[in-house]
Order: sequence, then structure tokens, then C-alpha cells
Amino acid sequence: MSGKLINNALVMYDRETRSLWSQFLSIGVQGEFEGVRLETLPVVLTTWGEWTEQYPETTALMKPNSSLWDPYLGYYGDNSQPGIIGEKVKDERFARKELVLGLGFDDGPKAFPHSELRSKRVVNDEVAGEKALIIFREDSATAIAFNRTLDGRDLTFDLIELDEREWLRDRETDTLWIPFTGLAVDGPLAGSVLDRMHGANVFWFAWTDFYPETEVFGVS
Amino acid sequence: MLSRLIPFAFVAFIVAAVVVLVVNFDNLSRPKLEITVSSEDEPSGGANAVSQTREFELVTVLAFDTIRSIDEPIIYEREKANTVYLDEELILGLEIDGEARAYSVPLLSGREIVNDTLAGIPIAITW
Repeated sequence: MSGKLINNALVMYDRETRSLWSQFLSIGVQGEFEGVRLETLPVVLTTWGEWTEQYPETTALMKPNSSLWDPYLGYYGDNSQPGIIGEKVKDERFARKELVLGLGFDDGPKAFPHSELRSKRVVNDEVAGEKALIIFREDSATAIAFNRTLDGRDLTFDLIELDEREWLRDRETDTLWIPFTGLAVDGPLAGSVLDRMHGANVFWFAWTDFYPETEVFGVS
Repeated sequence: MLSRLIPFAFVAFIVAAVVVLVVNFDNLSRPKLEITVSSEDEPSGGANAVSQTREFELVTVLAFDTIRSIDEPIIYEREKANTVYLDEELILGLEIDGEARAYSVPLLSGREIVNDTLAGIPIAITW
């Protein structure tokens, strides 16, 4: 960490050149690597229980004990504290600390508030000109987005329950897919994988500071 | 009589100067960065390339490395991890080429960055 922030978000530095990088924008912002994009990887924000169900052989970063103490515990739910440097843009359609899945970024920002995703659980939508599939798991507040165009064909998904498990099923071919990973496991498209769409689960106030003009799912 | 006003004028001038400095100090320590973000990878500026330049403030709140990143992290196998990870614990999970790894969010909150290697690929987990 560089000790610096852009819109309350982390600014990293690399030890090799001391260039500064914006975490939120995934880009170098000062120094030799200014303007250089960082390749983002499809991380999932979820719970250990949810993760190990999908990946029983997973490894994990060492922890010294089983404590869940987090220096930000009080901060996560405190709507009166919009970051260290405060918010620039006030948009009161949602509470400051409402979590949103932010997609599209500079290509066409669109926020999917968790409160909107909660009732839908699966959303077939469009972001920045691409067809998007968003799945939401309430108990772990997991929100993941995929690109639902496969080999030039747009797929439309529903969540169904089968054998006490949840599956995605596309209306076009009735193929069954694993919601967490976007992998097709049964049907005409078995073996296919949906590409993850770059997204971040962030606070509403943080998203609107970067994208005051953002589209918002569920709000016209 | 005029000579009595001079000290007041002098003090007023000093006060005004201090006020101007204090008000602008904030701006002095917050340089503005121009960041050009291009629409996906069109390095040669193809027909569909869209780029916009936006301005952001860079705010310094701490010195470099006040929070030290985790480098060369110790990694637990599932069985060992189960003794310290709780089901309801928030994690950042990543799977590359069949290798899956979880990073505890409470732990990340205190360290911010983990420099790791997964499936042979050098990665930085940032929170």
C-alpha cells in the first residue's frame, strides 16, 4: 500500500518501479506504469462454507487463529462514515453502505444493488453492450456476473432446484449449469463455461463517487 | 494615532495570510491526476476504441508501507484451514486452472495486499 487513496479506494505501488496503481480502476496512475492496465482475475467474495462446497480441495491463506476480528467491523454498517476522506457525490437513492455489484466500469457503469438482487436471485440483463447474467446468494451475499453470450448466441437463464441443489438452466437449450462457476454440466451445451464479467461488490457511496452518472438496476 | 493602527494592520495581514494558506494547503497536498481509461484493449486505436480522460484527486493519508503487505504467504491445505476458517467467514476465493484458494477477509482487512502465486501465476489479492 502507498498510503494514498483515490476516492477512498486503495492505491498500491510496485516495489520495482514505485509506480502508483488504482485498485478500483485496475490501472497504473503515476510513474513508469502510468496508463498500464492490470489484468483482473475472477475473484469471488463469498463465505468459507459456500466456497468449500464448490471447491472441497481448496487451499487457504494461513490464519493465526479462528478469530473473525476485523478492524473495519464497525465501519461496514455505519452509514455516517463514507470512507476516510468522505464522499464527493451524494446520491440518496440508496444508503451509503448498501452493497452493490458494480459492472461495466468505464465502458458503461451499472450498479446492481443487493437489495434489488435479493428478490430476483437471477438476473438476465445487459451491461455496456454485453449480455450479463447475475446470480445472487442471500446467506453469503455472493453476487457474481457472467457474460451470457456463448459462441455468438445469447442465453437466458432461470434458477431451478433439482436433487436438492440449485442449478441454472438456459431456456434456449435446457442445459444445466453450476451457478457458482458458470460451468455447464448436463445437456446440449455440457462442458461449456460462461466467462466471468469483471465486477466488484462495493458500497453504493464508493460506486457513485467514481460513476455519478451510473445506471442502476431496478431503478429507471 | 496612525502609528497605533500599524500593529493592527500587521496582525490582520498575518491572519489573512494564514487563512489563505490553511484553506489552500488541502489542495497543495492533493495533486490531481489525469487518468485515461480506454474501452477494452485497442492499443493501436482501432475504429472502436473509446478513451476518456478523467481527473482524480490523489490523497495521502499514511506513509508508504504503514500497513505491510503479506509476501511469501503460508498456505494451508483444506484440513488445516478448517481449524481456523469458520463457515460464515467472508473470504475472497480464486480458482485458476483447477487450483482454488481462499483468503480470509478479516485477515485481509489488516494487511490489504497479499502477493502470492497460484497455478504458477503471480497474483496480488487486494482488499
